[in-house]
Amino acid sequence: MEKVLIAVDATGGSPGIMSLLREAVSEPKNIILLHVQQLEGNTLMTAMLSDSEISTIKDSIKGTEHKEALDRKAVKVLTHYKKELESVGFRGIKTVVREGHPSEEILRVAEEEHADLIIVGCSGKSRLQRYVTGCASREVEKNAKVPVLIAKGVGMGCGEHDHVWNGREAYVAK
Amino acid sequence: MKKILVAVDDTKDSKSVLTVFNNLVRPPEEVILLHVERLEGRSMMLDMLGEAELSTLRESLRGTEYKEELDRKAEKILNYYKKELESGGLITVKTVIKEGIPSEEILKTAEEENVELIITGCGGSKGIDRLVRGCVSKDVERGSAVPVLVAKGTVEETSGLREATLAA
Repeated sequence: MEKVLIAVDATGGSPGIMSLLREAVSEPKNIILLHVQQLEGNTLMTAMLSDSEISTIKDSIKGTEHKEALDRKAVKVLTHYKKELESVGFRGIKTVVREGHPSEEILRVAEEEHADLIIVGCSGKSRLQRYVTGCASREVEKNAKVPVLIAKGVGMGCGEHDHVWNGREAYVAK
Repeated sequence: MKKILVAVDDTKDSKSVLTVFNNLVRPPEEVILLHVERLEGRSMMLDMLGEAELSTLRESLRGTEYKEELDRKAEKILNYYKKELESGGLITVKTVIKEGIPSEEILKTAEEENVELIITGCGGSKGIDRLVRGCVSKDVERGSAVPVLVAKGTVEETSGLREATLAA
């Protein structure tokens, strides 16, 4: 396999991703590590915003502490995975940071980079949102032109029936 | 990887699992090849039936021509994919036929067989159904304890499956 796109959200997912890369899929020559920054946190809002509104948000938070925190997180997450992957011998790793809707950005990057396979976890969404629309991975899976591997297990956020409806938590969504 | 579950049906889309299997996946020791017979055709109804109703449906279909037709079809589909999978190298392929709601049977079989990965095509859901639910039913993705690989794209050169399985 030439290229695999791995969308990573938080640092917890590495055991799942490592075992998939080493045991399940054939060895990729290139790995694109993608982190999508959600500019407005985990609200349902983003799904309702249009491109122009999103770009207004992008502009208005430029240079703010919030954006700086997001940038730090992105760097932290991507370096974490890059190191982990390199430590077990993977080469040709490219990291990419995007801002916006996770599923849309994942699909866009997959197309731009001509990925052969997309690996996603089930992250980047609040519980309520997951309950309503399923995981970001579902939107990716629905619309992708290439195969999609939905990772499970430790820290991928999707296993263990994580998104079973829990009313109280949904309202406290950050 | 020891065991992989590959779920197939008679749609052209389903054939993309072969491409995925050959190109993207490390060859496992054993493949569980599963076909789920949809007792009521392609309607969306099925999801609304309870276990009890489903088993009544199973009961009433037993021995009918319709069921025999489904069985013949299932066997043809599984034979086709078994051959294709085996042509790729030395792997054991075990075929399984289930009846009922595809997503549930896929999950059940995955658990029974202790597979480490599920590969499924985008088939089985078309049009509105696909638009509403995505490729695999939400339930496979949500309920599965193991990774799920959704195959995409069709392989033209292996056309003729539909004709092969549906003819005669």
